[in-house]
Amino acid sequence: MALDLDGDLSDEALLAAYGKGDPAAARALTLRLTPRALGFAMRMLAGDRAEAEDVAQEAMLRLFRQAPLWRRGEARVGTWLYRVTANLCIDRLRKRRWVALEAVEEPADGRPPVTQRLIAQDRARALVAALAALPVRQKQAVVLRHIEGLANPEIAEIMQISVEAVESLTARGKRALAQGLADRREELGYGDE
Amino acid sequence: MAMNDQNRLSPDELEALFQAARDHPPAPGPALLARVLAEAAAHQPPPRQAAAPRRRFVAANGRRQAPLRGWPALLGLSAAAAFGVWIGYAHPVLAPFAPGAGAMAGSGAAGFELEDFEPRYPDFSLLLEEI
Repeated sequence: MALDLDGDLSDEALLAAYGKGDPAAARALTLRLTPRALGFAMRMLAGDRAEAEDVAQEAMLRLFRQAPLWRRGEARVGTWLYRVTANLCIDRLRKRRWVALEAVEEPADGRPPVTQRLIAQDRARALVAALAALPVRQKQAVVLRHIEGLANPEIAEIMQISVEAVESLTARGKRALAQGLADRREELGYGDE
Repeated sequence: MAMNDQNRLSPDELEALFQAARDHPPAPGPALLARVLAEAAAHQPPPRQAAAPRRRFVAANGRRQAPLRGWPALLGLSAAAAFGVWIGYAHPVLAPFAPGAGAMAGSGAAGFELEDFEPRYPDFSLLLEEI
């Protein structure tokens, strides 16, 4: 029976099927979860794709190893994957001094880009660069809340802190981002309003 | 109209950046997906076969119990056999009354003392494990 790759099966059901030797489940898990791990790692690692891919691959490897031991009713697969990915990113950040990458390339004539798509992509890149300047825990909380779209209780479980601590970290992180990006308002497409 | 603080982005402006990040997630390339899929295949357990149903018997009290297997069963059987041999040699008078001892009737112990009837039982704890 072909596995539904469109999302009718939960992550936990896919993992259980993988643990029982279903090759279709292996493909479905790879396609569904690798983007999630990669996206989170990219935002945590200042957009460094090579490092983020290594982290994503390692996180997925650990998930596959964990599959035969997975107990239903414990942590959700997504929560577990975010936690492992975050820890791998934090390990790499601690080993190196990360410098924020220049996310927005200056156009040749100095004027900001005008097309909507370019503006959106530039904004995304600028945000990633600004996130790199945040303390790790603030960055993690902001990314999980405002980019990955998780609710505070799940973030608290991933980061193993209280919900109140999550709220504090995201508030401080957003304040720092707002201040750090203020001087880029014009090039990000924000005119005087 | 809301005041525009030049020292920081407004909440709406910051939210627009978050939305742009959500709208443009990094996509894994085919090489990364192939590597991850290879890891999945390398660590996936083989397909499970349906397990043979466990045989159980119903005890005298109506409860389903697993049959004795392995060394506990062998140990009990050995103890029972040893006890039978002991009865035959140590208590030839009792041997005819031991279970299955009909063929051994008339082992011919002539002359005995009262103490010969004093029971000298071996350790029954091993036998009781069978119960």
